[in-house]
Amino acid sequence: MARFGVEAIRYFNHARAAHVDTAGDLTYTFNRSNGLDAKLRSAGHTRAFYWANTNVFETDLRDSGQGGDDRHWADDVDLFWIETHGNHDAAGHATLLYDTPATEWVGNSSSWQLGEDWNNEWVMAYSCDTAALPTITGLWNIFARMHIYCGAWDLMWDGITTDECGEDVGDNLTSGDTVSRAWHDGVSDWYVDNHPVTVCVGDAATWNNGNIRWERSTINRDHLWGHGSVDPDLAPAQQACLLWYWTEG
Amino acid sequence: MNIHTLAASLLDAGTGAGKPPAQADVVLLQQLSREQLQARARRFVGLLREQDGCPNDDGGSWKQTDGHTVIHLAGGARAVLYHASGALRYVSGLAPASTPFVRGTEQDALLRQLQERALKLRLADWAGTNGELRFEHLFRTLGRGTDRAGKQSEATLFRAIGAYRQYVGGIPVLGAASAAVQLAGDGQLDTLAILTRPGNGEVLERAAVIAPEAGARQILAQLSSLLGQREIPGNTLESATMQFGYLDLGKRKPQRVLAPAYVAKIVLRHKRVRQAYVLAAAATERPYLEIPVYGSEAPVTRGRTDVGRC
Repeated sequence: MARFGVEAIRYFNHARAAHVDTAGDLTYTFNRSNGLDAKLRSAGHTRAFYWANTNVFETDLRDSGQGGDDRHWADDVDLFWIETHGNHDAAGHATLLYDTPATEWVGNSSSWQLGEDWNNEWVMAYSCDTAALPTITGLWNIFARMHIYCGAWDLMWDGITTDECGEDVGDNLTSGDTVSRAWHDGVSDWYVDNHPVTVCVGDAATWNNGNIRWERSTINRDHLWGHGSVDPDLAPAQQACLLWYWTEG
Repeated sequence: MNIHTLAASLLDAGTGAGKPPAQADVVLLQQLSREQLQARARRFVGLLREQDGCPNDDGGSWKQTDGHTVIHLAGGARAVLYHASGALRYVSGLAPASTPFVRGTEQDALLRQLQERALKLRLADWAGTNGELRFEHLFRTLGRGTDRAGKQSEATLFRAIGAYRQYVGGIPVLGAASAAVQLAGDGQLDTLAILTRPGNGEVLERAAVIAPEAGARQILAQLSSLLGQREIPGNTLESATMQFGYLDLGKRKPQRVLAPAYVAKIVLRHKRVRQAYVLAAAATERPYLEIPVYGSEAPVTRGRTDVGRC
């Protein structure tokens, strides 16, 4: 079974007061995060931690070798779910907004390196714009041995019509769907255009000189522990390609 | 931007498709008994088998869990029945990157395939009393890759999704798509969702609809509260739309009536991030549904400083 961690921020009053950004509070953050948490726990998975609002630190994702503490948090669990405001920089690195000055206000995926302790397999970020398609290769560095990054290539909507997304992702994961499918289907209400994307790395045989053998890809094969097969980790030296799978409306 | 400018944007959008009616029915919904829910699920699975060759219910494979029943079908497929709403889902169990479409499949061809399948699946039968289902939006799921040298593959189209909207008495039921059909490249039905709630054929009352200006004011009040300020910062607004319709609260929630509402979609661009809100407000003087701005709270956990860091 899986160990998972949840982090979610609804209020951004500290970031606004410090003039970091004018970003508004979110509305149904905890319906989604609590929903995922409840579904996974009821299926027998272990919650390692659940941090909310000002208890969510940027260093939880930042690599321990770069001043962060990921090996005790994001990289210490199989599945890490985070919800906050997001974006990306010009190089395609994901950026996440935090509401505490305890660490940095804004995290940047250029300092993430997940899976090298053989722990993290999947990161799910319910945040806007963290994986923009034109610069998506900017995420490559995060795949130390992690399997799939689940994010958004444009907006992710917050409101009463997307409040069940966490429960839907959780139900899908524990019903035997692949992780990629669980994300795409779970965060889509087919009313708002939620722009889900899943990103993974593949070996040379999967890349196949550009004629991608999708059936070999982690996107096609990985399931949550206990609900189907999980591909072996792929070390950076074996990574020949970056693959992404997105939904557009 | 000041509030009046945003209000004008919402108002333009809110009346773009014609002014809302002066009055609208508050429609009573059927509260389904356990037996009725089971019958609805059997009808769904039977229809899938008869009309689409989907796997059969093996019998004895119904598993009731928190708020829903999962019906395990042959071949790894499943159907799900949501007890609170009667919503239904079918999931084929196909791997996400299996059976792509032929390269170059045009949008028109996708729309044609989806419409044909919707007819075959008799989607219209789920529209309920005085209702109809109209096609609303096409979504597509694609895949692509790149190697270390930056060589990119062609994009591959894996799935086409048709989203349908229920209209009751000509008024759209807003929220998650009322029905969604997802097809794989070989024409297989990958997923099907039916979220329409059955009405009981009765109207609670005919209610006066508040003007779009009043709806926009309620939405703006919510927005100001979320942004923590009365004035919305200049140049923040990226887009704003507002629709009049009935609001469905979601498949996991019970609901007794379909009541008129204004639903706004607002996109803001701040210095560091963009954000997208769906905000809703009652479109009647008397509220028939609770539409809270905020959802659940965070669970009570220990403070971060209470936890020993390794």
